[in-house]
Amino acid sequence: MSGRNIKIEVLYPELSNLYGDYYNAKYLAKCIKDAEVIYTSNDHKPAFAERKKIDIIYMGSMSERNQEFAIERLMPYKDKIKGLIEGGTIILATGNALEIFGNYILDGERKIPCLEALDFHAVRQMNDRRNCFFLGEYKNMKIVGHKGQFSFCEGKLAEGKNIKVSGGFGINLNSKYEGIFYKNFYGTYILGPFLILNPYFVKHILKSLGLEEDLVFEKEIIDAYNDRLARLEQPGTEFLMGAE
Amino acid sequence: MLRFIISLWASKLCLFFFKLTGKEKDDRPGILALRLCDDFIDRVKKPRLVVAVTGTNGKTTIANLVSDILKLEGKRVAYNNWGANYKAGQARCLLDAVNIFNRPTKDAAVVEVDELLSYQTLPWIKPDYIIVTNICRDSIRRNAHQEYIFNSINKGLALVPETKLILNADDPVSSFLGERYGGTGEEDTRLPNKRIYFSIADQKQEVLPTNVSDFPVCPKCGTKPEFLYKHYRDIGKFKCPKCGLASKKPKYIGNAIDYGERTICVSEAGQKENRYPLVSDTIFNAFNVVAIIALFRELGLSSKKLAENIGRIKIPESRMAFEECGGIKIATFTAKGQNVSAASTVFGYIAKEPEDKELILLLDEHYGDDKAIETITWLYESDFENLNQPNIKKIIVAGHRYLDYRLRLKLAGIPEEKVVCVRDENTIPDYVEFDGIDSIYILHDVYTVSKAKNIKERIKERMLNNER
Repeated sequence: MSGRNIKIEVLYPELSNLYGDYYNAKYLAKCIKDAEVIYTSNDHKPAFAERKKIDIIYMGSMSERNQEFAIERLMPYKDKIKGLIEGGTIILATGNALEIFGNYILDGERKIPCLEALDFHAVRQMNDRRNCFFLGEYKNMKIVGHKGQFSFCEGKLAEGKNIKVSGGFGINLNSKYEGIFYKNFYGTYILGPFLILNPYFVKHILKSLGLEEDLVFEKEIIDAYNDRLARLEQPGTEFLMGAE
Repeated sequence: MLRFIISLWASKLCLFFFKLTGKEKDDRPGILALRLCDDFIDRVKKPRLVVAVTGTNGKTTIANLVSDILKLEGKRVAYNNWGANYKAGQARCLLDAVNIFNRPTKDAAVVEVDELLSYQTLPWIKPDYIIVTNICRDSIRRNAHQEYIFNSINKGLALVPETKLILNADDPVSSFLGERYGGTGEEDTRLPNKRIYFSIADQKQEVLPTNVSDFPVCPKCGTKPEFLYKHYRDIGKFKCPKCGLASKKPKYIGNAIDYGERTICVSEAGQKENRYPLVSDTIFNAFNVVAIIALFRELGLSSKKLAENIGRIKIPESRMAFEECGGIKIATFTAKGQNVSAASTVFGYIAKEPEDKELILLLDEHYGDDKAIETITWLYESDFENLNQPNIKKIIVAGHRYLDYRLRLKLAGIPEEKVVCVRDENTIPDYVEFDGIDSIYILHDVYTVSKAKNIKERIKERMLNNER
């Protein structure tokens, strides 16, 4: 594929690779010829803050403690991040990474300030883990995956009509929609290798970058996707899972 | 009280019939006990010695080894060492340790305790000792992440201040049990439990890279830790370059390991070393041996007697077994699908074994169930890249997730000609090629032991029929 030197920055991979999430950036990079992947650890200044033009910023799932470390490290760049989102930089955040971009996280009586880049907040309940398989639809694409979380999002952007849920739960337990999407910010609680599970979403991202060619191992990734989709679309599929 | 007595009598009767029909290793009497009396585990009298074993990997192996040694010492032991580590299995274990008058009839109980739910039952079991094997990455759905499990176990430990903890100083996560670093917004705490640490000194082993780290940052300050050495994954000795948090100082240290002779020299509080047998040639089982050495030395068993006893015990076959047929070694290993650390550790072990081999993976969670859906996040956390070795000649995967494996193995860089991914598991033996290989490894989940045995037998059948 032609790449016009696309730059992907993976933020704090040591903190935010809880469920194999970094494979999202790895796969994306494989699909873009000459893509440059910058892995920024939490003791370094992010590349986007160094005035470098970054095309895609990626962050994945974290433990709650590491999530708070990540918020602390990103706080000095909150205005810059808000500017990047408004300017249309592609940001992909999977799992609880998306919460960092909201206003705050409520954990019992604790209120953890976040980047305030997007108008929503998260409510965390460590004694209530929720799991589900997920099936939904976004722009005529069927989206599949698995969610497992202690927290949910609420607030203005959490009311957005993004991925319409047909199996599993949404951005909160009362919502029929999943994800915090705003301009080119894509935040979803779907965990781990979200892009590998959703090849058509990879194509959607590539299209946003002006790239429209084949994916790496396109046949294999689409075969696996179709097989999973067929299972999830079977009548009577149980989407909600216990913690066992 | 009446509720408890009815529960005890009914479940004792149930246990009697199960034993009579050869179903001793069944936790249904425990289910009955709990159904009739939900705090049965609290009310049932405990033997003089109660040892609990918890952690992510190695619980069942350690629980077996501990109960076997106690039996060799002439003790009457109750145990649930066949993996029945939920409440029912624990109740079944303790039920077996009393008579119908709730008086102890056994000298000891070895209770394997599920790590996530340990906080619920530890205050009832009130163990004298608890061995925590390690806290590693496990099923995302159930165990979320290590920090969550760490907090769950700590919550239970806070309620049993008299329990002595036997902890692996080389596991940077579980070795800090009994403490909690606030890090972000919470107070540091320290529990009063006595802690005894064990470790293994640097063995200068080649450590294969991992996709995800079990200990990516210092829990106190978030800085990337520096490892002085590692044994595998993030099991090793570390120090935080920023805040100074470091591995605990061990009382029991495994020094020289001789895998050929299967021995390990263990020093005790800096004193003279003693040589002990190992139960296998894997580093993770060497840790299990050092853990039980720590326990029995704390209990006062002489080193000489302990070494003799260890020499007489074996790892349960359901976890690891070797057999030779027609000049080819066939090994079956529990690797646990969805359990990233167990699978990756076994991948690493196999990758480093020098012989030419073929590998069969039976790791689906719902093996053989065509309608089942699974989470596949673990495939991308596990180190399939380490299976890309010249001496791994073929990887055979079958089951309903075969398309996910096909993609994963391709992304791991495994050459296409080495990979067989098929839906029908019954066809696995047909794809094994015997020429030019020294061994066949069958990696299976805890739930696919009999399936693995069946496949092994069919491979042997093909060998004996000279299909080579």
